[in-house]
Amino acid sequence: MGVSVIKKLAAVVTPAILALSGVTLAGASAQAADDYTASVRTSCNLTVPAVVQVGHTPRIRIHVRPNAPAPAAGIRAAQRAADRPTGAVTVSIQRGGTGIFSRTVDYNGAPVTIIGPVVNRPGHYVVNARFKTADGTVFRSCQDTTAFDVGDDNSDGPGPGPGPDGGDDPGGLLPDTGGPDLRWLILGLSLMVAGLGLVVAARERPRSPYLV
Amino acid sequence: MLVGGIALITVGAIVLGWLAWQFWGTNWVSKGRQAEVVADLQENWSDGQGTVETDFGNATGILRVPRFGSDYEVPILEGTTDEVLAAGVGHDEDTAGVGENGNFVLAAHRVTHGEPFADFPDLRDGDLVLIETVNADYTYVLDTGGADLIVPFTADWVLDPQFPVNPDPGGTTALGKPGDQIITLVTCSEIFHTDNRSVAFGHLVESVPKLP
Repeated sequence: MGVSVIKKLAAVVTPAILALSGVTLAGASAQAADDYTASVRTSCNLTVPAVVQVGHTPRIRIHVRPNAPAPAAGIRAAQRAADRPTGAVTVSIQRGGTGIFSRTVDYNGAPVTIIGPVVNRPGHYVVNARFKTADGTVFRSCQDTTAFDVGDDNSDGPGPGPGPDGGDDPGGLLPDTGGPDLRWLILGLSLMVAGLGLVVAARERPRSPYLV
Repeated sequence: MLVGGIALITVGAIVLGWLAWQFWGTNWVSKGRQAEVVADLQENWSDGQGTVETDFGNATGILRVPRFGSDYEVPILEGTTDEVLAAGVGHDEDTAGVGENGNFVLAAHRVTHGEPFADFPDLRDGDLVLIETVNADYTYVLDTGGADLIVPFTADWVLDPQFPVNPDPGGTTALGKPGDQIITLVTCSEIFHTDNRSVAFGHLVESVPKLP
């Protein structure tokens, strides 16, 4: 009887153990597969001008790139395109904690530029870009935050501006990367020489005979 | 007369003192800013932030030019305002971004304000220009030297976001074709203020994404 009971128990327990083992193994296998599921981190790079003039619109550029090795040389263009993150990018702008702008655009792998709203109030504006990957891709989402200031100072801009250092004429195009005007050096030296001349002349001037 | 002479000497000394500040004082201040921004960048990159907001502008990368020294590193900020150029190298935000197809334009002071491009005329074709961002390390090679091209500051063709083509037939221009990844470096062509700019062109030869 003892043997019979043991056999019956074995007949019941063994399949159960095997079934559980199978489930466990399958689970472990699935878990292992999850651990190695291709998932590529991405980095969002948000670019805006540091200063935007009152009444103008900020140009906001977003570039999402995978943090993965570049495809090998010679790889087909179609495959390279598949290696780019795609999805949607949402750009939002806040001023003083209050949202003033939000826009979502498709992201197809190439940098996108969004023209922001006309900003009429001077102050500090915070820009956030959030990339949400398309379904079925291996890329992860990312976000980036930066800021710009709105001011009405017309001395700044992409071109050079007039200034105390003898800057270029307004309306120039290439950045003003120069130093002070040579005329300031000439002026300073001229003043020094003229002043020294006056001092020397004053000291060499004949004194009044009444003082002799 | 004596008083007038002393007054002239005083004014002349003030002018020369201001010049001395421009040539030496601003360098001292700006080099401190540059080091501060570079440190901020490296710290924020470790947190995954690609763009770093600073008091001087939004920084996105670090420029290294072996020709300028093994320890040469200057932050790249967005825009070319006076504040930006006083804290590092400015990226003209209307041109391509680093590593992107098109013309990636950087400008910096040759004298004063940290003078990142002080040795610009020493650049030779074949020199490397290295740029680090949160995502990748980019290597450009110069196709022209720092003394090969001088243009007036109104030469907007240099800033063409696609491909800079010198309208002067036979003049120094960028090599390659539209769609290539071009870099353009711009600075002043003389030590004192000038309306002319020195320009050097190069192209991207390598981009190595950073692994997470």
